[in-house]
Amino acid sequence: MAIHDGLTRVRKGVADRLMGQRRFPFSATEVTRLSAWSCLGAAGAYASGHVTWALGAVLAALALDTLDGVVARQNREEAPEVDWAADRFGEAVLVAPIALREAWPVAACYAFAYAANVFLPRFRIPVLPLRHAFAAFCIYVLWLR
Amino acid sequence: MTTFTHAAVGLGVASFFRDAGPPASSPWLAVGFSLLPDLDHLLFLKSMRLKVGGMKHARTFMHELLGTVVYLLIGVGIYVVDKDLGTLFGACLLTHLFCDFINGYSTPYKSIRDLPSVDMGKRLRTRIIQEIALGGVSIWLFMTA
Repeated sequence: MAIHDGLTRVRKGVADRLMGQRRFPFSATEVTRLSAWSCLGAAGAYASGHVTWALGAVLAALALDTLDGVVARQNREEAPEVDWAADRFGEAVLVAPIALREAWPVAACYAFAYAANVFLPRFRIPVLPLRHAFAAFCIYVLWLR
Repeated sequence: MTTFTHAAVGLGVASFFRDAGPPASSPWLAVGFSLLPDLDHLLFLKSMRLKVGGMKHARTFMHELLGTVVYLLIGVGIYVVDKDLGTLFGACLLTHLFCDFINGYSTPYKSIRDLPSVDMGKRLRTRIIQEIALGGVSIWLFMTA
């Protein structure tokens, strides 16, 4: 948990250092929305067998997820629940493509982790980085399998 | 999102299951699954209004994150019997809930945590663009894939 918190703090710090001085003409919610749509795009790409596009889309989603934090802090838009919920719904749409293309143990692991992610904040436990895991799995499928 | 868009998304999802055996290859089944979550609106028939935002109260927890887990579990049950059918069920249901979250008013953690509601559909123009874009892409996928 300490490692997770530390990594999150480092990521926020780097993002703020790189982009925090700029003025963005859009709201954090719009960036969150784009991030969620990127997840749906990744799901569609993976389901149709375009793993490279799926990887690109999920990496875009992760980048936008970092950007929405920067924009929210800059605009003082304190709405973390929007971000949390969008992240969960974005992870949800990735379940079916994995079930469609991969063997059942992989699908079962992802589905179980997703279900856990919905409840983990209830117990003040950090969520599992499922989109990062999906990106890593895409890299495995593309270059290592 | 509107019933028409959900039906179109069902057709779009069905395009990924063309190679699956029956019954998962049936687009009508996909449309049926895609419309299934809206059955919970029937509980609010008397208070629903046919106007923008007139149905934002007409959602049970099955339209929120807890619903994604319940539908996921049902999908896993179907998956054990028929892999393609279970995956189609999960894809249609989870995409429906994703679309409703991204285009309207919700209380994502209803029945899980005490969190405020989220309104991703404040701007009517954005909602219309999302409906048309998603519906259009879905129908295009169904016609061409």
